Amino acid sequence: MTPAFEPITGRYLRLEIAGCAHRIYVEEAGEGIPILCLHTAGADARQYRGMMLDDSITDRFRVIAFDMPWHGKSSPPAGWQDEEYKLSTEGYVEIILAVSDALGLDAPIVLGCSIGGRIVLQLAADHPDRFRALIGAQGAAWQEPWYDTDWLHRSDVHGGEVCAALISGLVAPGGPEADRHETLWHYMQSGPGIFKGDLWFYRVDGDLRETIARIDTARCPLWLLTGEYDYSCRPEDTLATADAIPGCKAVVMERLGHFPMSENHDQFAIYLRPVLAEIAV
Amino acid sequence: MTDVATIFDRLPEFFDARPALVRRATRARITMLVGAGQVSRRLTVGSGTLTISHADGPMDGWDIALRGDDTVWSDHWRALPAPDAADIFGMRRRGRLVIEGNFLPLMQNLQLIKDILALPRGTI
Repeated sequence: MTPAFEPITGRYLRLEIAGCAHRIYVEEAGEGIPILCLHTAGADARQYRGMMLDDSITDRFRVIAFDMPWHGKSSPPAGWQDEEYKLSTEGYVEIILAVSDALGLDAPIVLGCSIGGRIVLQLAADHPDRFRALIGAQGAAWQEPWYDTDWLHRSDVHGGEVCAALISGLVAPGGPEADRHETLWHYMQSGPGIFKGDLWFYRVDGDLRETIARIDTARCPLWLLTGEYDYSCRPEDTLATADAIPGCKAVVMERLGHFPMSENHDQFAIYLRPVLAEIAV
Repeated sequence: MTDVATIFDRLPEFFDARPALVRRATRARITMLVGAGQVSRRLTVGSGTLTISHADGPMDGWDIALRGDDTVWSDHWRALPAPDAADIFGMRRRGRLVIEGNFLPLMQNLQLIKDILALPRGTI
Protein backbone atom coordinates (compact mmCIF):
# COMPACT_ATOMS: atom_id res chain seq x y z
CA MET A 1 0.00 0.00 0.00
CA THR A 2 1.33 3.44 -0.92
CA PRO A 3 1.28 5.91 1.97
CA ALA A 4 -1.13 8.77 1.35
CA PHE A 5 1.39 11.53 1.93
CA GLU A 6 0.39 15.06 0.98
CA PRO A 7 2.77 16.91 -1.38
CA ILE A 8 4.02 19.09 1.48
CA THR A 9 7.51 18.74 2.92
CA GLY A 10 8.45 20.00 6.35
CA ARG A 11 12.01 20.47 7.60
CA TYR A 12 13.95 22.29 10.29
CA LEU A 13 16.17 25.15 9.18
CA ARG A 14 19.14 26.20 11.31
CA LEU A 15 20.04 29.87 11.11
CA GLU A 16 20.94 32.91 13.13
CA ILE A 17 18.47 35.73 13.61
CA ALA A 18 19.90 38.91 15.09
CA GLY A 19 22.93 36.96 16.31
CA CYS A 20 20.90 34.30 18.06
CA ALA A 21 20.79 30.63 17.00
CA HIS A 22 17.36 29.43 15.93
CA ARG A 23 15.82 26.23 14.61
CA ILE A 24 12.90 27.19 12.37
CA TYR A 25 10.29 24.81 11.03
CA VAL A 26 9.63 25.34 7.33
CA GLU A 27 7.00 23.72 5.11
CA GLU A 28 6.78 23.96 1.35
CA ALA A 29 5.06 22.61 -1.73
CA GLY A 30 5.25 23.32 -5.43
CA GLU A 31 7.84 24.63 -7.86
CA GLY A 32 8.44 27.95 -9.54
CA ILE A 33 8.34 31.49 -8.25
CA PRO A 34 8.79 31.39 -4.47
CA ILE A 35 6.03 32.75 -2.24
CA LEU A 36 7.14 33.22 1.36
CA CYS A 37 4.02 33.08 3.54
CA LEU A 38 3.67 34.75 6.94
CA HIS A 39 1.13 33.43 9.45
CA THR A 40 -1.04 35.52 11.75
CA ALA A 41 -0.30 36.45 15.35
CA GLY A 42 -0.51 33.55 17.79
CA ALA A 43 -0.75 30.92 15.04
CA ASP A 44 1.65 29.01 12.79
CA ALA A 45 2.39 27.94 9.22
CA ARG A 46 -0.38 25.34 9.14
CA GLN A 47 -2.64 28.21 8.10
CA TYR A 48 -1.24 27.90 4.55
CA ARG A 49 -2.04 24.23 4.00
CA GLY A 50 -4.85 25.06 1.59
CA MET A 51 -2.47 26.98 -0.65
CA MET A 52 0.09 24.17 -0.53
CA LEU A 53 -2.52 21.64 -1.61
CA ASP A 54 -3.87 23.81 -4.44
CA ASP A 55 -2.40 22.53 -7.71
CA SER A 56 -3.48 25.66 -9.55
CA ILE A 57 -1.01 27.55 -7.35
CA THR A 58 1.76 25.00 -6.77
CA ASP A 59 2.03 24.27 -10.50
CA ARG A 60 3.64 27.68 -10.96
CA PHE A 61 4.72 28.74 -7.48
CA ARG A 62 6.87 27.32 -4.69
CA VAL A 63 4.74 28.00 -1.61
CA ILE A 64 6.86 28.25 1.54
CA ALA A 65 5.61 28.91 5.06
CA PHE A 66 7.56 28.90 8.31
CA ASP A 67 6.67 28.95 11.97
CA MET A 68 8.04 32.15 13.47
CA PRO A 69 10.31 31.68 16.50
CA TRP A 70 8.17 30.87 19.58
CA HIS A 71 5.38 29.57 17.30
CA GLY A 72 4.32 26.10 16.14
CA LYS A 73 7.32 23.79 15.84
CA SER A 74 9.86 26.63 16.03
CA SER A 75 10.77 26.53 19.69
CA PRO A 76 11.93 29.68 21.45
CA PRO A 77 15.69 30.23 21.61
CA ALA A 78 17.72 29.06 24.60
CA GLY A 79 17.05 31.24 27.63
CA TRP A 80 13.44 31.92 26.71
CA GLN A 81 12.26 31.17 30.22
CA ASP A 82 13.65 34.46 31.49
CA GLU A 83 12.29 36.57 28.65
CA GLU A 84 8.91 38.18 28.00
CA TYR A 85 8.13 37.60 24.35
CA LYS A 86 7.43 40.80 22.42
CA LEU A 87 7.54 41.04 18.64
CA SER A 88 8.95 44.34 17.39
CA THR A 89 8.85 45.81 13.91
CA GLU A 90 12.62 45.59 13.58
CA GLY A 91 12.72 42.05 14.93
CA TYR A 92 9.94 40.91 12.62
CA VAL A 93 11.75 42.26 9.56
CA GLU A 94 14.96 40.56 10.70
CA ILE A 95 13.17 37.21 10.94
CA ILE A 96 11.73 37.47 7.43
CA LEU A 97 14.99 38.58 5.81
CA ALA A 98 17.01 35.94 7.69
CA VAL A 99 14.69 33.11 6.69
CA SER A 100 14.60 34.29 3.08
CA ASP A 101 18.40 34.47 2.97
CA ALA A 102 18.89 31.13 4.72
CA LEU A 103 16.60 29.48 2.17
CA GLY A 104 18.53 31.17 -0.65
CA LEU A 105 15.38 32.68 -2.14
CA ASP A 106 15.83 34.99 -5.10
CA ALA A 107 13.30 37.83 -5.08
CA PRO A 108 10.41 35.94 -3.54
CA ILE A 109 6.85 37.14 -3.29
CA VAL A 110 5.89 37.69 0.35
CA LEU A 111 2.30 36.99 1.34
CA GLY A 112 1.48 37.88 4.93
CA CYS A 113 -1.77 37.91 6.88
CA SER A 114 -2.76 40.15 9.79
CA ILE A 115 0.56 41.02 11.47
CA GLY A 116 2.04 39.56 8.28
CA GLY A 117 -0.21 41.83 6.25
CA ARG A 118 1.09 44.77 8.26
CA ILE A 119 4.79 43.91 8.02
CA VAL A 120 4.73 43.70 4.22
CA LEU A 121 4.22 47.48 4.33
CA GLN A 122 7.49 47.83 6.23
CA LEU A 123 9.19 45.53 3.70
CA ALA A 124 7.75 47.63 0.88
CA ALA A 125 9.11 50.80 2.46
CA ASP A 126 12.60 49.57 3.35
CA HIS A 127 13.42 46.54 1.18
CA PRO A 128 11.47 46.84 -2.08
CA ASP A 129 14.28 45.54 -4.26
CA ARG A 130 14.52 42.26 -2.39
CA PHE A 131 11.03 41.14 -3.36
CA ARG A 132 9.20 40.43 -6.59
CA ALA A 133 5.89 41.54 -5.10
CA LEU A 134 4.21 41.93 -1.73
CA ILE A 135 0.70 40.85 -0.76
CA GLY A 136 -0.89 41.84 2.52
CA ALA A 137 -4.00 39.96 3.57
CA GLN A 138 -5.94 41.70 6.35
CA GLY A 139 -3.29 44.38 6.28
CA ALA A 140 -3.40 48.06 7.13
CA ALA A 141 -0.88 50.60 8.37
CA TRP A 142 -2.83 50.93 11.59
CA GLN A 143 -6.13 50.05 13.20
CA GLU A 144 -7.53 51.17 16.50
CA PRO A 145 -7.39 48.59 19.32
CA TRP A 146 -10.77 47.01 20.09
CA TYR A 147 -9.93 44.98 23.21
CA ASP A 148 -7.41 44.82 26.04
CA THR A 149 -4.69 42.29 25.20
CA ASP A 150 -4.07 41.62 28.92
CA TRP A 151 -6.99 39.19 28.73
CA LEU A 152 -4.88 36.94 26.51
CA HIS A 153 -2.37 35.98 29.20
CA ARG A 154 -3.40 35.91 32.83
CA SER A 155 -3.59 33.19 35.44
CA ASP A 156 -7.37 33.25 35.91
CA VAL A 157 -8.32 32.86 32.23
CA HIS A 158 -7.29 29.87 30.06
CA GLY A 159 -5.00 31.40 27.44
CA GLY A 160 -5.63 28.95 24.63
CA GLU A 161 -9.38 29.04 25.06
CA VAL A 162 -9.67 32.81 25.29
CA CYS A 163 -7.35 33.45 22.32
CA ALA A 164 -9.42 31.13 20.14
CA ALA A 165 -12.73 32.46 21.44
CA LEU A 166 -11.71 36.02 20.84
CA ILE A 167 -10.64 35.49 17.25
CA SER A 168 -13.53 33.16 16.46
CA GLY A 169 -15.67 36.20 15.72
CA LEU A 170 -13.21 37.26 13.02
CA VAL A 171 -13.90 34.12 10.96
CA ALA A 172 -16.65 34.72 8.40
CA PRO A 173 -19.83 32.71 8.89
CA GLY A 174 -20.83 30.28 6.17
CA GLY A 175 -17.38 28.86 5.41
CA PRO A 176 -16.31 25.24 5.88
CA GLU A 177 -16.93 24.29 9.52
CA ALA A 178 -13.86 22.04 9.71
CA ASP A 179 -11.60 24.84 8.52
CA ARG A 180 -13.16 27.32 10.96
CA HIS A 181 -12.50 25.01 13.86
CA GLU A 182 -8.99 24.08 12.75
CA THR A 183 -8.18 27.78 12.54
CA LEU A 184 -9.35 28.09 16.15
CA TRP A 185 -7.36 25.00 17.15
CA HIS A 186 -4.14 26.67 16.00
CA TYR A 187 -4.86 29.50 18.45
CA MET A 188 -5.65 27.07 21.25
CA GLN A 189 -2.18 25.55 20.76
CA SER A 190 -0.23 28.79 20.90
CA GLY A 191 2.29 29.15 23.73
CA PRO A 192 1.36 31.23 26.77
CA GLY A 193 1.57 34.94 26.06
CA ILE A 194 2.64 34.50 22.45
CA PHE A 195 -0.47 35.95 20.82
CA LYS A 196 -0.25 38.89 23.20
CA GLY A 197 3.48 39.27 22.45
CA ASP A 198 2.83 39.31 18.70
CA LEU A 199 0.25 42.02 19.22
CA TRP A 200 2.89 44.23 20.76
CA PHE A 201 4.00 44.78 17.17
CA TYR A 202 0.42 45.25 16.02
CA ARG A 203 -0.72 47.53 18.84
CA VAL A 204 2.36 49.37 20.07
CA ASP A 205 5.47 49.21 17.91
CA GLY A 206 4.01 48.81 14.45
CA ASP A 207 2.15 52.02 13.69
CA LEU A 208 3.17 52.36 10.03
CA ARG A 209 1.06 55.37 9.06
CA GLU A 210 4.17 57.47 8.48
CA THR A 211 6.25 54.60 7.08
CA ILE A 212 3.92 54.01 4.14
CA ALA A 213 4.79 57.45 2.72
CA ARG A 214 8.12 55.90 1.66
CA ILE A 215 6.56 53.08 -0.36
CA ASP A 216 7.24 53.15 -4.10
CA THR A 217 5.10 50.53 -5.80
CA ALA A 218 7.05 51.03 -9.03
CA ARG A 219 9.96 49.28 -7.28
CA CYS A 220 7.83 46.52 -5.79
CA PRO A 221 4.14 45.94 -6.56
CA LEU A 222 1.84 45.83 -3.53
CA TRP A 223 -1.61 44.28 -3.10
CA LEU A 224 -3.87 44.43 -0.06
CA LEU A 225 -6.70 41.88 0.22
CA THR A 226 -9.15 42.11 3.11
CA GLY A 227 -12.17 40.02 4.06
CA GLU A 228 -15.47 41.80 4.54
CA TYR A 229 -16.15 40.07 7.88
CA ASP A 230 -12.94 41.21 9.54
CA TYR A 231 -13.82 43.74 12.22
CA SER A 232 -10.23 43.88 13.52
CA CYS A 233 -8.55 44.97 10.29
CA ARG A 234 -11.71 46.32 8.70
CA PRO A 235 -12.09 46.86 4.98
CA GLU A 236 -12.09 50.61 5.62
CA ASP A 237 -8.73 50.29 7.42
CA THR A 238 -7.21 48.53 4.42
CA LEU A 239 -8.76 50.91 1.91
CA ALA A 240 -7.48 53.95 3.84
CA THR A 241 -3.97 52.49 3.71
CA ALA A 242 -4.24 51.70 0.00
CA ASP A 243 -5.52 55.20 -0.73
CA ALA A 244 -2.38 56.62 0.88
CA ILE A 245 -0.01 54.53 -1.27
CA PRO A 246 0.06 55.42 -4.99
CA GLY A 247 -0.16 52.28 -7.10
CA CYS A 248 -1.28 50.01 -4.26
CA LYS A 249 -4.13 47.74 -5.32
CA ALA A 250 -6.77 46.82 -2.73
CA VAL A 251 -9.59 44.30 -2.90
CA VAL A 252 -12.34 43.64 -0.34
CA MET A 253 -13.05 39.91 -0.37
CA GLU A 254 -16.60 38.64 0.11
CA ARG A 255 -17.51 35.84 2.54
CA LEU A 256 -14.09 35.98 4.22
CA GLY A 257 -12.82 37.19 7.57
CA HIS A 258 -9.43 37.67 9.19
CA PHE A 259 -7.94 34.28 8.22
CA PRO A 260 -8.77 33.88 4.53
CA MET A 261 -6.16 31.24 3.72
CA SER A 262 -7.11 28.94 6.57
CA GLU A 263 -10.81 29.62 7.16
CA ASN A 264 -11.81 29.18 3.50
CA HIS A 265 -8.97 28.68 1.04
CA ASP A 266 -11.23 28.05 -1.96
CA GLN A 267 -12.91 31.41 -1.49
CA PHE A 268 -9.56 33.14 -0.87
CA ALA A 269 -8.09 31.59 -4.00
CA ILE A 270 -10.74 33.33 -6.12
CA TYR A 271 -9.05 36.59 -5.19
CA LEU A 272 -5.46 35.38 -4.90
CA ARG A 273 -5.12 33.61 -8.24
CA PRO A 274 -5.56 36.74 -10.41
CA VAL A 275 -3.00 38.59 -8.27
CA LEU A 276 -0.49 35.78 -8.64
CA ALA A 277 -1.16 35.59 -12.38
CA GLU A 278 -0.43 39.30 -12.72
CA ILE A 279 2.77 38.96 -10.70
CA ALA A 280 3.96 35.99 -12.76
CA VAL A 281 3.69 37.79 -16.10
CA MET B 1 -41.58 36.89 12.42
CA THR B 2 -41.03 35.67 16.00
CA ASP B 3 -40.37 38.48 18.47
CA VAL B 4 -37.07 38.69 20.29
CA ALA B 5 -38.60 38.07 23.75
CA THR B 6 -39.99 34.74 22.60
CA ILE B 7 -36.61 33.76 21.21
CA PHE B 8 -34.84 34.75 24.44
CA ASP B 9 -37.31 32.57 26.36
CA ARG B 10 -36.53 29.59 24.14
CA LEU B 11 -32.77 29.73 24.78
CA PRO B 12 -32.87 27.05 27.54
CA GLU B 13 -34.69 24.73 25.13
CA PHE B 14 -32.08 25.32 22.42
CA PHE B 15 -29.31 24.84 24.99
CA ASP B 16 -30.66 21.55 26.33
CA ALA B 17 -30.81 20.21 22.77
CA ARG B 18 -27.02 20.62 22.41
CA PRO B 19 -25.27 18.02 24.62
CA ALA B 20 -21.81 19.29 23.68
CA LEU B 21 -22.73 22.75 24.91
CA VAL B 22 -24.18 21.34 28.14
CA ARG B 23 -20.92 19.44 28.69
CA ARG B 24 -18.80 22.54 28.09
CA ALA B 25 -20.96 24.49 30.54
CA THR B 26 -20.38 22.07 33.42
CA ARG B 27 -18.13 24.40 35.40
CA ALA B 28 -19.35 27.74 34.02
CA ARG B 29 -21.10 30.19 36.32
CA ILE B 30 -22.29 33.54 35.00
CA THR B 31 -25.42 35.66 34.89
CA MET B 32 -25.93 37.87 31.85
CA LEU B 33 -28.40 40.58 31.10
CA VAL B 34 -29.35 40.51 27.43
CA GLY B 35 -31.33 43.37 26.01
CA ALA B 36 -32.93 44.36 22.71
CA GLY B 37 -34.54 47.78 22.90
CA GLN B 38 -37.09 47.64 25.73
CA VAL B 39 -36.90 43.83 26.01
CA SER B 40 -34.46 42.32 28.50
CA ARG B 41 -33.87 38.98 30.17
CA ARG B 42 -31.43 37.52 32.71
CA LEU B 43 -29.61 34.42 31.48
CA THR B 44 -27.93 32.31 34.13
CA VAL B 45 -25.44 29.56 33.33
CA GLY B 46 -24.51 27.30 36.22
CA SER B 47 -23.57 23.65 36.71
CA GLY B 48 -24.45 22.70 33.15
CA THR B 49 -27.83 24.41 33.12
CA LEU B 50 -29.17 27.52 31.43
CA THR B 51 -32.11 29.34 32.98
CA ILE B 52 -33.85 32.51 31.91
CA SER B 53 -35.81 35.00 33.95
CA HIS B 54 -37.31 38.46 33.66
CA ALA B 55 -34.99 41.28 34.55
CA ASP B 56 -37.35 43.80 36.04
CA GLY B 57 -36.94 42.96 39.74
CA PRO B 58 -35.47 45.70 41.93
CA MET B 59 -32.46 43.62 42.98
CA ASP B 60 -31.96 41.37 39.94
CA GLY B 61 -28.20 41.49 39.50
CA TRP B 62 -25.99 40.28 36.71
CA ASP B 63 -22.30 39.88 35.91
CA ILE B 64 -22.31 41.29 32.42
CA ALA B 65 -24.86 43.05 30.24
CA LEU B 66 -25.11 42.90 26.46
CA ARG B 67 -27.62 45.39 25.18
CA GLY B 68 -28.50 46.80 21.79
CA ASP B 69 -31.40 48.16 19.81
CA ASP B 70 -34.55 46.30 18.73
CA THR B 71 -32.85 44.59 15.79
CA VAL B 72 -29.38 43.70 17.03
CA TRP B 73 -30.17 40.15 18.21
CA SER B 74 -32.50 39.29 15.35
CA ASP B 75 -29.73 40.36 12.96
CA HIS B 76 -27.25 38.22 14.94
CA TRP B 77 -29.56 35.24 14.57
CA ARG B 78 -29.89 35.39 10.77
CA ALA B 79 -28.68 32.23 9.06
CA LEU B 80 -25.90 34.26 7.46
CA PRO B 81 -25.48 37.38 9.58
CA ALA B 82 -24.06 40.53 8.02
CA PRO B 83 -20.53 41.65 8.93
CA ASP B 84 -21.91 44.09 11.51
CA ALA B 85 -23.95 41.39 13.28
CA ALA B 86 -21.85 38.21 13.19
CA ASP B 87 -20.07 38.44 16.56
CA ILE B 88 -20.72 40.12 19.90
CA PHE B 89 -17.41 42.00 19.90
CA GLY B 90 -17.89 42.93 16.26
CA MET B 91 -21.32 44.31 17.09
CA ARG B 92 -19.72 46.21 19.95
CA ARG B 93 -16.99 47.60 17.69
CA ARG B 94 -19.60 48.62 15.13
CA GLY B 95 -21.52 50.47 17.85
CA ARG B 96 -24.50 48.11 17.79
CA LEU B 97 -24.04 46.48 21.19
CA VAL B 98 -23.00 47.77 24.60
CA ILE B 99 -21.14 45.25 26.74
CA GLU B 100 -20.58 46.31 30.34
CA GLY B 101 -20.04 44.80 33.76
CA ASN B 102 -17.55 42.27 35.08
CA PHE B 103 -15.62 40.94 32.09
CA LEU B 104 -13.83 38.17 34.02
CA PRO B 105 -16.59 35.51 33.88
CA LEU B 106 -17.28 36.51 30.27
CA MET B 107 -13.66 36.02 29.21
CA GLN B 108 -13.35 32.81 31.24
CA ASN B 109 -16.25 31.35 29.26
CA LEU B 110 -16.12 33.40 26.08
CA GLN B 111 -16.70 30.76 23.40
CA LEU B 112 -19.40 29.07 25.46
CA ILE B 113 -21.25 32.36 25.87
CA LYS B 114 -20.85 33.29 22.22
CA ASP B 115 -22.25 29.89 21.27
CA ILE B 116 -25.20 30.21 23.69
CA LEU B 117 -26.09 33.67 22.43
CA ALA B 118 -25.93 32.43 18.82
CA LEU B 119 -28.10 29.35 19.47
CA PRO B 120 -31.18 30.77 17.68
CA ARG B 121 -29.12 31.38 14.51
CA GLY B 122 -31.10 30.30 11.49
CA THR B 123 -34.33 29.71 13.40
CA ILE B 124 -36.01 33.02 12.61
